[in-house]
Amino acid sequence: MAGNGVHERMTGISELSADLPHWLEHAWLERYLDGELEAHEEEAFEAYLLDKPHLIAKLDADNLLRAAIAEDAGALKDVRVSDVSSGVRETRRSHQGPTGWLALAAGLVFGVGLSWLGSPYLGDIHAGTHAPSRIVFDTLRGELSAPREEAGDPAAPVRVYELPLPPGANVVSAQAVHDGRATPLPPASPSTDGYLTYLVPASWRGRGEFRIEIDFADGRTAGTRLTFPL
Amino acid sequence: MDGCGVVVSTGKANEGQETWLPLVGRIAAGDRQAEGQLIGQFRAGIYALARRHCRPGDPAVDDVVQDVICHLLEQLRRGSIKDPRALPAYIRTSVVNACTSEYRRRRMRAESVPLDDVVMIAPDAHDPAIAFQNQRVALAIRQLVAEMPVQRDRELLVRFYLNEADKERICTELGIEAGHFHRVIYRARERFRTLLVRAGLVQEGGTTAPLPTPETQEVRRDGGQRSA
Repeated sequence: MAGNGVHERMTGISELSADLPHWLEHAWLERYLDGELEAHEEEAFEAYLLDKPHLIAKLDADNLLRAAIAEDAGALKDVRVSDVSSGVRETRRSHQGPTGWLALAAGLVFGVGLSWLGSPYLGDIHAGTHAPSRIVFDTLRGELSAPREEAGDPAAPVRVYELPLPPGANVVSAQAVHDGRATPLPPASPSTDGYLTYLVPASWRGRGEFRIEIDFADGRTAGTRLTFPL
Repeated sequence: MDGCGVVVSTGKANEGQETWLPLVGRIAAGDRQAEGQLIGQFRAGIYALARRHCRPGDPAVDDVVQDVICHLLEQLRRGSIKDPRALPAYIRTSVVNACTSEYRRRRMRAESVPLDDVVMIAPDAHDPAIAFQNQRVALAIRQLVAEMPVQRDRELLVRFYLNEADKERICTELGIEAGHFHRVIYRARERFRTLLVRAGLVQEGGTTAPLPTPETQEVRRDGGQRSA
């Protein structure tokens, strides 16, 4: 419990009584969660966040992460992608992580003998040193919405794209058109939840689009083309 | 973020304060309804801080929170808190002290009961709702881990969250730069939060406390004293 003298101590840590700008709040929070604040700063920030639900939620998510790791520390050493796919229903195959997509990407790349991307683009890819950005087009329902981008290492030479297909669609052909040049892509099979994963050079960003020709096994539609911006 | 410690109050109440500042005086004047409103403002924050300062997953958090709330109400009823703006700092100090007291009590008892046994036994471990939530959290952590391809990054998480090693030490021992440390931790944190939102364990935008809080639990009127 607060002991004698707490009122005196409060005087010194009540400096954060005004709302901070969002960016500064965020900076405080990150430093706080990373354990980088000095003791008096930590004291002040904890008092500051007490009546701010958006900060409390982030703090509690971090608390839960800490608790979950403590509860299941073995998972950090033992888990495999296959452990997850059967358990987390909301998880897409393509979201099973860099382990999954790096393996897939490697398969794609080496499966076509590096011919479609060219070795100059790929000579510097090391899973352990680069974490590429991941761009996910979440839905085909209605208009194509802006993709979600999970930031990666800015130095990564490639970007991972995850492209959704309508249910039952098969890929007839796929290509990436960049700077007016069409580069054929392997006609990958969609995952069970309908996503294609492609790895392309980061330098292509904003310079073209994917063109995916699809058809359907039941023949209801033929020759449909889907486009996704690079 | 240079200058963290020198952010000076403008003297203007923030949005949260505008809500609860008037409640302090009303409580001192005997307004019981104001008590509920004020506790409602701070309960989630008190829980979050208590979880922060207790061991991970420690069920004693509920008791700590109850102690803090009871003590707080006592002080407010007496009008002991002269500067209402200092209330958050007062609450924060109370939470930290309550957590410290809890572990001090345990140390005194530890000779007869292994501490880890005490910590890991949750009183409601067989509650189906809690068990279900725990299962979803476990899946979320496994999902998170599955998305981390580099063993060193997993090791970083273990050292930071489980072993509570500080950043400098982790960076030195793993041979990584501070920037990499921050990226790994930040991404893990954000991704885990996304998974919790998807699992329905956290609301987007943080309007509610993500972990179960005994909202219906009545504030004890025994002054927060627990039997050791």
